Amino acid sequence: MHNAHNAKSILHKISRAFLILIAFTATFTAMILSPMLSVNVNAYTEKKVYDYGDLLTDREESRIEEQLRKASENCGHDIIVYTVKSLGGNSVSEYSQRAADGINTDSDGSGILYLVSINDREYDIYAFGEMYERIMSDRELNRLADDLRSYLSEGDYYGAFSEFGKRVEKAALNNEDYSGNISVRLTLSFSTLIVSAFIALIIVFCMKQGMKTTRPEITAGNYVKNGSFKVTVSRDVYLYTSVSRVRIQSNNNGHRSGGGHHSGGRSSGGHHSGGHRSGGHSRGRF
Amino acid sequence: MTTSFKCACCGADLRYSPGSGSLKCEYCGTEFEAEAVEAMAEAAESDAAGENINWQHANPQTMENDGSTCTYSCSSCGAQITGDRTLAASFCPYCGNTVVMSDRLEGMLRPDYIIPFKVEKDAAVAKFKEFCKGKPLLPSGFLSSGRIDSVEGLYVPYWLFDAGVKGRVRFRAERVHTRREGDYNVTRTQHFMLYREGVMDFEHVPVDGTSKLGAEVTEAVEPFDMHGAAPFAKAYLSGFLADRYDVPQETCRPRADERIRQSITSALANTCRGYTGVRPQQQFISVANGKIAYALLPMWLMTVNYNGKSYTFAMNGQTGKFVGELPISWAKFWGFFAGITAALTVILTLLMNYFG
Ligand SMILES: [Zn+2]
Ligand SMILES: [Zn+2]
Repeated sequence: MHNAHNAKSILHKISRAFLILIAFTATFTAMILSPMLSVNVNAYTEKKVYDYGDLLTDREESRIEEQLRKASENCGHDIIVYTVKSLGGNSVSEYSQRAADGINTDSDGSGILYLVSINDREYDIYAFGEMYERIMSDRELNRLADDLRSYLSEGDYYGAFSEFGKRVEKAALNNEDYSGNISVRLTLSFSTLIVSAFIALIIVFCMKQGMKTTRPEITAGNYVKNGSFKVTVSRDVYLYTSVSRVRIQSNNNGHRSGGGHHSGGRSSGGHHSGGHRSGGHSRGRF
Repeated sequence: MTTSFKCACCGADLRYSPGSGSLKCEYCGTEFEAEAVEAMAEAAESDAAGENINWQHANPQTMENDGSTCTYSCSSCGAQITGDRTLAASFCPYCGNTVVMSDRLEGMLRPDYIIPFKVEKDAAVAKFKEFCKGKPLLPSGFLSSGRIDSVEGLYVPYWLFDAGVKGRVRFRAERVHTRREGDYNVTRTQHFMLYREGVMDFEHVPVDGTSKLGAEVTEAVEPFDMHGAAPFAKAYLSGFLADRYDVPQETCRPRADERIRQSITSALANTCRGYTGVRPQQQFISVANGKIAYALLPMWLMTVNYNGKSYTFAMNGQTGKFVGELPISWAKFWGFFAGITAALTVILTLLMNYFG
């Protein structure tokens, strides 16, 4: 009886809390939806290939330039290839980030930069802005970097950059190769909606339950003479045993971590030191 | 002599001759030891024996009318209610419509027991107001435009069931052990049949004898404290209305049996310790010397009219327990649903984006 009363008042408080929540909802929804709906026109740079490392022939360079320019226009993000002879003592991710900042100066800018340093035999793929948030998150970056590493090891730089351009464009256009962050998040929010609706349904049904206190009794426990209950026969009989086996799922989905060539935080996600745009790296050696 | 029974594993028909020892089900391949086989065969026989329930009926007599009481009849729901002539009741306690004093004298039935009113009329109104508080789905107009049409104290007819009851219940239950063997999680489930017999004495299990309120209401206001039940005296009636039963005790018996059966089953289930999934498979009760009595139990009945529909609320006249069903605003229901869904979606999405 006391418990029921407590439960009732708790329910009351919960429902009041939800009223306040609903008020916030409208504001939050507006805040979240507005950047999604607005068309993001990025100022992206004209030049796409910075071959300071001289890894490409002139002809290769202009082909890649052409390819990346088209891809960038198609998807609305900067897709950049950047090669150097040496990192000059800088860390590869520091270098790529600085290079990207120098090229894409727009603080809302979005893009991806593929840095290769030929003397250090190090590379870094750095995605920033929307490209990082929506398309190439750490997992995708790592996949892409892994797939491109063999080109670099074989010295096929043209192949690596061309493939890079294709894959990023594909991902940005939400191709099946990269299920991509956009669709992942959409399905997430769809399942979130379903889960929320389910919880909401439970809550309103609880409210509805509170409207009705008329229900039949199940037992006659209130009318048992005190101490009259006695067990007279008690017999436990073992019948049979059933056995079921379930194979233990081994965890080999996704990346196997710790391949020697990119030890030490190969996927250093997280936020840009400048703070105004986010980005993530996938770096390694070849 | 062979006994046939169902395989405890797959339900197929099995045959068994006493003393033949263990048995293998030819359908599912489960092997049963001799003890299990005998227990299953015994269970089958015990199921065939069934229940033996014997109630001795009450025989309430009509009281002679000395002219102080009269009958009020409701033209709307057909209720025929006895009350003081001086009470001058004008509303039907069941439906809130007007009643007329009828000349036809329906003799009142003399109950074996009566529980006198202990809670005042004001308490019923206060409880009603409290019940309406904190109900987000209540239509906004209910309290303001809904009017309390009547609050009547009514002695509701009940049948009371008294008996020493023997219960025999068969449960199925498991013991589960899981452990890892190589690449597999192996779960071994031991299946048991638990047989329990017990006795329990029941005093005054009430089943309502009126068709006007329904078990939802008459059982929801329970429990009544049966220690407060007094032998009937006419003085208790003054100031209140009293109905006479329209559901005979024969019709009410199965309801009492069912509640008794569930009570004894749950008491016996509590003795099955060390198992998981204890569930009754067969529940039997034997009632040897059951007695049925006729009683009048006190209830405040309140009728509220809202939007052309009447809502009945009831309060236990002895304990003050208040029950009822309020109308629901479906606009508010779906409004809350949509609002909560939206709020949760936003919150969950935010959480997933920032912590996911
Ligand atoms: Zn079987
Ligand atoms: Zn009526």
